[in-house]
Amino acid sequence: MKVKKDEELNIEQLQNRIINQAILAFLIIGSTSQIFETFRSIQFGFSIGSISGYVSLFFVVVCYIFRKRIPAVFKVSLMLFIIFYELINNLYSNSFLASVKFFIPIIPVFVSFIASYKKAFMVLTIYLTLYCFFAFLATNGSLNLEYDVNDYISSPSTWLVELSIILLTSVGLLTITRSFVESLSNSYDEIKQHRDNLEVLVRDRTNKLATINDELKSTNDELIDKSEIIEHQNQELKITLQHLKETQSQLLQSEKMASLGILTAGVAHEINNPLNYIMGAYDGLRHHFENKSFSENSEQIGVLINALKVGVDRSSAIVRGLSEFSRNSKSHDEECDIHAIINNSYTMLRNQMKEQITVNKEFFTSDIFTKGNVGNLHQVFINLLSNSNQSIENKGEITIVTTCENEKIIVKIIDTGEGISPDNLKKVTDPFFTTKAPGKGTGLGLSIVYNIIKEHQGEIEITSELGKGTTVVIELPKK
Amino acid sequence: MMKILFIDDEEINVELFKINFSIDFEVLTGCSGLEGLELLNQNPETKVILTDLKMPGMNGIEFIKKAKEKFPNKKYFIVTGFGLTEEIQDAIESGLIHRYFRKPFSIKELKQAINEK
Repeated sequence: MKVKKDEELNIEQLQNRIINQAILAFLIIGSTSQIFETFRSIQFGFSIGSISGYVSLFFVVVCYIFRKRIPAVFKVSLMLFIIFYELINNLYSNSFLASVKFFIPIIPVFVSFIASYKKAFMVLTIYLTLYCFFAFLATNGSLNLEYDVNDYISSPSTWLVELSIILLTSVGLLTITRSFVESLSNSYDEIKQHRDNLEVLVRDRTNKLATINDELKSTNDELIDKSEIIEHQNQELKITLQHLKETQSQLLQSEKMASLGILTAGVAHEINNPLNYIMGAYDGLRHHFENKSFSENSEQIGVLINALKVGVDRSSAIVRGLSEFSRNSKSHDEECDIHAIINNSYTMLRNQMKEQITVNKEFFTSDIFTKGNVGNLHQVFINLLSNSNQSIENKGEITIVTTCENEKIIVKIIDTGEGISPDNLKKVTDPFFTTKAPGKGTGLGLSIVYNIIKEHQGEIEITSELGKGTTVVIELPKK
Repeated sequence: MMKILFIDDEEINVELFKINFSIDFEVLTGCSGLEGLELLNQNPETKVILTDLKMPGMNGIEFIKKAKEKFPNKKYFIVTGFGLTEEIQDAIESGLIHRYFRKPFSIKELKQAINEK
C-alpha cells in the first residue's frame, strides 16, 4: 500500500500555513485599512498612532515576503507585538471606539499555535488587562478624546476601518476553522482510503489463504493416498515376511531332517547296544529260570537285572534325545537344560565320533537353564559337535566347557581339528557355504546355528587357526 | 570245552557274554583289540574270535587283520550294532571274517555259528 507523502500534512505545517494566510490577510486588509486611515488622517490630522500604522504595515510586508524563512514564533510574536502596540495606540487615541480591540479574540488562537493553552490564556489576560487599564482611565475621566466623537462616527473612513478590522478578524477565524476542517476532512479521507486499502488487502490475503488452504488440502489428500499405498505395501511386506519366516522354518526343519538322516545310522547302533544288554539279560535270566538256578547264582542274577535296567535306560534316553531333537515345536519359552541338551546331542553323535577322538566334558557344577526351544538347541550342539568330529582327521580331542557368569551361560566347544582358514572363517555362517564335498553337507549347519543362537538372544563367536583347531564360544542368557 | 574270545569295549556286553556263553564254552574276554591280541598269544588254542566293530584305539576289522596274520586258521566273527556297512561287506567278501552278527544277537544263533565246523 502506498501513502501519498505530499498530501501528508502535520499540524505544525498546518499552523504555519494558517499563520502565513493570517499575515497575508493582515497585509491586504491592513493595507486597505491603512489607506482609509490615511484618508481619515488627512481629514482629522496625522497622529503618532496613524504614522505607526505605516511602520507596522512595513514590518508585516517584510514578514510576508520572508514568510518561508522566518520561524512561526517570530511571525506570531511580531503580530502580537503590532496588535499590542496598535491596541495601546488605538485605545489611547480612540478610547472605547478603538477598532483594534476586535483583534483581541484572535490573539490566543495564534499564541496557541506556538505555545500551550495556558500561555495563550496568559497572553489574553495581558491584553485584557491592558484593555481594562484603558477602561479604567476612560471611566475615571482621565482619558479624553482629542476630537469630536460625532464627527468621528459620522466619517465613512471610520466605519471602513472598523469594517476592515471586523472583516480581518472574521476572515482570520474562518480561515483557521476552514483549514482545520479541511485538514480533518483530508485525514478522514486518508483514513477511509487506508481502511479501504486494508479491506482490499485483507480480502486479498484471505483469498490467498483460501488458495493455500486448498493446496494444503490437496497435498493432504495426496499424502493420504500415498499413506494408503505405503499401508498396502507394508501389508505386502508383512505377507512376504510371513512367507519368509515359514520358508526359514521349513529350511530349519529340513536341515534338521538332513542331520537326522546322518544321525540315524549312528543312533541305530547306539540303540542296538542297550537292546543287546536286554537281549543278553533275557537269555541269561531265561537260562536260570529254566534250570531253577536263581538262588545259587544270585550275584549273576544281579548283574543280569542291572543289565536290563541299563539297557532300558540307555535306549529310552536315546529315543528321548532323538524326539527332542526332531520335534518341531515353535515355542520359544521352553525350559532348556543346557547339560541335558549337550549330553543328548553327544549321545546321538557318539557312534559317528571317530574312535580316536577323546571327548572331555568340563561342566559347570550345577545345572544351568536358558529359555528357548529345546529342539533347536539340540540342533546347535549336534551341528557343532558334528563339525568338530569331522574336522579331526584321526586322533584328537573335543572339549566341551560350560560356565556361568553373572546372568550368562557360556558354552565353549574346543576341538583340535584341522581349523578354518581366515577367509573361510568370515563365510562360515553364510547360508550354503560349505567346504565339504557335494552331498556331504548342506552348507546350512552353521548358518542355522547362528540364527538359532540369535533367536535365543545369544552370541556366537568362532575362532580358529589352521592346523590347530577351532573354538566356538556361545553365550546364552541365564533363565 | 571249546575256547572262544569275545572283545567289546562295553563292559556290560562283556559281562553278559561271559554269563551266557560260559555254560557251553570256555570264554575269554577283553575290552580292546590290544587286549585281544595278548589273550590270543596266551591262548593260541582259541577256536573262535568274536569282536565288536567300533572300539577306541583299534577297531574290530583292524584287530582281526592283525590277529589273522599270526592265527590265520581261526574263525573270526564281527558282532556289531551297525547295519551291514561297506567295511564289513568287504571283510566278508575278502574272507577276512566268517560271519557278521547284528546286536541284539540271538545267543542260540551265535552258539550254532560257533559250533559250526
